[in-house]
Amino acid sequence: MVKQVRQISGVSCTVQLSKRILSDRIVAGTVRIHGPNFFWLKRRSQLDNARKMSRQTARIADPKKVNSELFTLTYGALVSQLVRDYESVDDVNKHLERIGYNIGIRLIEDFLARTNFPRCHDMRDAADKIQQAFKLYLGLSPGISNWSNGNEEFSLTFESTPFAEFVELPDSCSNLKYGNILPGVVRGACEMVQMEVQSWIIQDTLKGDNITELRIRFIKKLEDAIPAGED
Amino acid sequence: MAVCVAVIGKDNGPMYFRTRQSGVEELQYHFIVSSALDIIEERVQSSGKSGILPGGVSNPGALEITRELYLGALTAQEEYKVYGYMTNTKIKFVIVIEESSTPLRENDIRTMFRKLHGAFCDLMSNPFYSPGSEIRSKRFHDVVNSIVAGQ
Repeated sequence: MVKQVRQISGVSCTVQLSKRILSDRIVAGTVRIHGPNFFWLKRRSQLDNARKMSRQTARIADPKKVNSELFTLTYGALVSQLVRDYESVDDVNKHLERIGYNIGIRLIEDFLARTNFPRCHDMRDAADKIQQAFKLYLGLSPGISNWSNGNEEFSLTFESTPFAEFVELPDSCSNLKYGNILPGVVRGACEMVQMEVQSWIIQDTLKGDNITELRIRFIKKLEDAIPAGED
Repeated sequence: MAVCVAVIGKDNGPMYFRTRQSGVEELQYHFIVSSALDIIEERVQSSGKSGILPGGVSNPGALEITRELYLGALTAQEEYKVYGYMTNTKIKFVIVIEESSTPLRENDIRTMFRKLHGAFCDLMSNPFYSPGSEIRSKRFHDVVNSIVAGQ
């Protein structure tokens, strides 16, 4: 490899060309090395440009934030592809919930790392934390309501969900639970903190109701919880 | 008073057609809209040949740099006038206006086309709508109703 470089560049490169230049040469393909110094200078200027660009883009848009329309369109593409792939709408609902579950078991780690909340004592605490999670990740502020008698069951109400913007359900999919990923996320997240919950959607703006309502019921506390795993 | 609103796809196939009242007259409006398509093509080609650079300097023989979406009045007869609007994705909107005692200002027509374009963009964002197919969306229908009835 070193011999080739010497022949091409015509400049006598020392045998001690660092490994990195050689690997870059291989990766870059047609990039010509005129000598190790020149190459390093070139790389450094490239790095400077990249740093300048990132400073400019940081002023324009926070690189960690995503346009909400992109998120809406992505979710819409996912659901419509599932509808096309699976024959029955119930299958799609189940898969959406499972996708949500897989997201939830991972998202809880990020949530706890960011917020560092202590253990919840009862469902009221848990409801509060779930509400804060929605605020943190989706920018929504759901209302908590409809507590059951034993304080084990409650509802989260959303005025509008961000990913249901622009969506109109076709007649063939009137049973589709478009936002069914949300109950799955809640179930997955709670399972990782040793709470088994059941969650489902009661009202849905896409079906003509005024609000979207998500009901969460506490089943039992898990001991030695091992996640069910992806099936 | 808008009597007919039509959306035509990029392959010149009809995507949406609505008249103020359905009946025998509908066929006539189909004919009017189809003949307006020819004029649209002519208009777009000619504006492409003498491209207008930003700044208003005309440059004969240049490639199409910017083209205004609103095409203006395409044709006019005693009873009606036809207006056209073509997006950069070759989707054409055609509105047929009935001549009445109170002629509509150009600004009103532009507003109608802007509303149509907005409704069309929302429709495109619906994941269950496949682009190029017939438009059956209730939301789009409502916007067109407000355009037809509003004036």
